[in-house]
Amino acid sequence: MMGKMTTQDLAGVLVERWHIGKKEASQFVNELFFLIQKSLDEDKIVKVKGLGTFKIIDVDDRESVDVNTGDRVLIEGHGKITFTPDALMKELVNKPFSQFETVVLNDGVDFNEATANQPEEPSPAVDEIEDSSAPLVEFVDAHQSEIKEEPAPVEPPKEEKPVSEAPKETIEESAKNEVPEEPAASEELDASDEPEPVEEESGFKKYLKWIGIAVLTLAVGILIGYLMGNHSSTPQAPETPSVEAVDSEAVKAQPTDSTSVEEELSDAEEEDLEEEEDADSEEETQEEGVQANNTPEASEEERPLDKWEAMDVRVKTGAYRILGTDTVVKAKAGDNLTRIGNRLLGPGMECYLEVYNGLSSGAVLSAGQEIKIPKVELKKKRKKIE
Amino acid sequence: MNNKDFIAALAARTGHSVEETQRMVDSLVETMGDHFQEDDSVVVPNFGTFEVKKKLERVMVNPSTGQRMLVPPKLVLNFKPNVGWKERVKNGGNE
Repeated sequence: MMGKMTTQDLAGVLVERWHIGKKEASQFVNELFFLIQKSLDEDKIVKVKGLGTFKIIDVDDRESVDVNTGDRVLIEGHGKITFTPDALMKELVNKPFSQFETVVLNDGVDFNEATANQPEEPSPAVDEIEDSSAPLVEFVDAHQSEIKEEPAPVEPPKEEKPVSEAPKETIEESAKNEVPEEPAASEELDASDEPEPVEEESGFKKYLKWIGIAVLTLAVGILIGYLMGNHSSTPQAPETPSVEAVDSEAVKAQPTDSTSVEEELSDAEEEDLEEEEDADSEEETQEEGVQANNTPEASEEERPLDKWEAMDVRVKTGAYRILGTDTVVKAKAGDNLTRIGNRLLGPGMECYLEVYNGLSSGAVLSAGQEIKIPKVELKKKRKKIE
Repeated sequence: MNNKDFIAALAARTGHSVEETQRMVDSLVETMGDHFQEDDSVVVPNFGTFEVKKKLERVMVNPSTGQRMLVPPKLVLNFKPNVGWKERVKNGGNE
């Protein structure tokens, strides 16, 4: 490459192809170029098929500036040898770049964009920033709307509204319903004489109940946690009434055998009572109770999708959620998750890879190690569907 | 002087027939082309140097329409005459 070829080499080719003497060959080559030179001097133009055209052109006088002194100088007209390659030779030489064609640039096209291929990368970054900021705005919106919704049931406590979906409201409502019935507490006291044997005989039942309570506690706990997480300012208010509701509920439910058991439990743990009450109401097939339970269950079904969120706070607060495996790539030597993330998902996405593959952020990847690329979806999108 | 005249003159000088001379010149040019493709330069003493140069891509503006075109990078064959010859031509003196 970048080697030099001399007339000897050319002569060698002639010797090989035409089987002529070395001396004759080199003489022929020398004659060839000498003749070009000589003819050019005489005719000012020589065309050689396949090679190109040699010309001597006259350059007119022109003014210039001496780069050292800054003085103006006159460059006198002179002759100049030019060479224009033959079309065939031109194409041959340019063969490696022949696939490129002159492209007309549209008015809007920026020169930098057209020349550098890099701008590809920054643009996704901008998108991401926009995306991640958007959900935040939505969060605020959702927050506000919920705040607006909630005061409504609280303000008119006397009114009995049709059952609504939100569990809190249901609880509140049941509270309203039960409040007038509190006098029944006295009855409960009377009945409490009897229940002791019942408790013993229902040992197994009680065990089952405890499990049920535990599950429900968990479900409601998650739900409350979720709601509190979303709008930390609101949850306090509804909670208090719900406790009341529990009490009154328990009071009301007393006629049943199991009520006494629940009662004792309620003494033990107030918080559990909430759930117990739910369970209780369920048993009694009270409509409110059933509905109140349905809601947390439904939300519980969606939760598993977000198990990745639980593993990493960045995923929880990030703009995307993991839906499943998209592709599996093999790490190259010297790769890390950040680089792979930048390459395949965009900047700032490595946390999804870390969580999804169970690797730490600084994990050193060995060449060929398989990295699962999660399929991610904007959380925003899903919210809209809901 | 066109190619036909040139070959005829060359044939007269080397003692080969015109046809033969043409084919020999063709094979020489072909060989040079092969070397140009490999970025080799051809140096001819007392004549000059043939060299392949890479031209970068550029944006060209058509002065009459204002239309901008992106001209791709290309490889061009360049000839640089031997200094002595160049000077001689520059000074306008034949021979």
